[in-house]
Amino acid sequence: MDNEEKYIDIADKLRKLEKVEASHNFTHNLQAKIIEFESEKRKEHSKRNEDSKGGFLKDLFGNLQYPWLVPAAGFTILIFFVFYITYQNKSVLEADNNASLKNEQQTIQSEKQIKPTEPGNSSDNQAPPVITEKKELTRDIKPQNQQNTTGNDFNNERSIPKNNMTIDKSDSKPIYKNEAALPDKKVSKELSKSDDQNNISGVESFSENQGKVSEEKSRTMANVKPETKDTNKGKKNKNDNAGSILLKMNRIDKEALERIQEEISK
Amino acid sequence: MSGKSNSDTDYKKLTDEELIKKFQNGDIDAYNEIVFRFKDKIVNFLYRYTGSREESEDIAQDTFLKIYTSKHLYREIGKFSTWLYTIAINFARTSIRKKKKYNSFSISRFGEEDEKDYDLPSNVIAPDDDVNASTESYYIQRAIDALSDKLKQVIILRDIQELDYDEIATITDLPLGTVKSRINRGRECLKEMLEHIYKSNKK
Repeated sequence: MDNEEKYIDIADKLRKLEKVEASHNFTHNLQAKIIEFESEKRKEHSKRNEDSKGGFLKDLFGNLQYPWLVPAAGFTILIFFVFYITYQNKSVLEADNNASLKNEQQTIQSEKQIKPTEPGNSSDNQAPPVITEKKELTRDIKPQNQQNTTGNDFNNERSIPKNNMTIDKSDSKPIYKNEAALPDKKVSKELSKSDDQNNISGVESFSENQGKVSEEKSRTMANVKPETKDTNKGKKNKNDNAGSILLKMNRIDKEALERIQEEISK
Repeated sequence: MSGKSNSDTDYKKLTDEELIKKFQNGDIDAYNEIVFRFKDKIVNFLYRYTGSREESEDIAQDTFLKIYTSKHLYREIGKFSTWLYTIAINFARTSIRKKKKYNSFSISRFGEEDEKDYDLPSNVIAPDDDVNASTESYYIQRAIDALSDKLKQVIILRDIQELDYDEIATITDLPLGTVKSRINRGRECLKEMLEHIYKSNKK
């Protein structure tokens, strides 16, 4: 308070100073400034709108109105990219699988085409099939020929279910457990009769490149021949009977068979 | 100044804070009332601070424009007048700084700007013995102009605008003690300057 009293004169003088008032056009000028400011604001806004017409990405990131969208969009794109790669790989794998399946089917078809040439099925005197795919044929024929070495068609797996037979490894001959699974007698007779001719014709039908195949086939023929020759030596009926007896048996013993054959021959 | 208006409201009865709240809600008449209430006070304060009529009006308009554009920045934690004076004083400082940049600086202030509280005003126009009020006010204004900025603003706010010490402390962002001491120092300087002017004129 002492200071207030000390400088009371000067304080009074300052208080009594005439008050300066705003001019009459003060509010008018202020209004003009406000209008100018708003027009500038509108211009900026319109300019921003024009800029934002640039595109979807510019709308998103151009003015950075939604900065949180940047990491979100990045993450989403990444996820899509990862999924795209994984599904692409899946489709490629599926395509590969399909291709391999097709190849298998083709090989099966080619097998089917080759089957008629086999000695067992050649009883119909059909013409040998036209071989289109040599490689597949060579691949597919080998196991067939190995089977053909048995000299009979009892091992025709397609006509007989696998459950009904067991394979004696020593002779690689199929042994039928059930009679129901056995092929008809007529067929077996016909097969035995036409073995020679059909085998020969089947082997001849192959190209020269498949020499090995033909050799193997000729070997099978050699294996088969003695039996067929025996039967041809006027003992057809007896042999047939013996064969039918054998076929009726659930289990065929090789030794027994040989014995029977010897008896018959005697 | 376009916008919403409420003809039923008696704006003159409303406090400053109520008016700015209404303006924040889009009532443009509340803004007009604020301008009407404060335009003379602000122009007077700025005139005493800058010493120029045109400049003071220009800065006052900028201050009200700032309130128009930044109304959302006001929080009802302090008085509206305090916020208004703070904006005005900031504009005034910026303007004076710009002015100083372009004008050639006073040789007497060179090198000792912070130490000296005032410059002795020139007494080109000597007052007569029968000094009338307008002439005295002119000299007082010259004396205020000669004060340093830190003393000038507190003297004007306290003795011309008649604001509280607390309010001045808030506007200037200074401690209360500093404000009081500066006011006393400013008065002392003014007294000295005015005595010097009168003495030199009497001679």
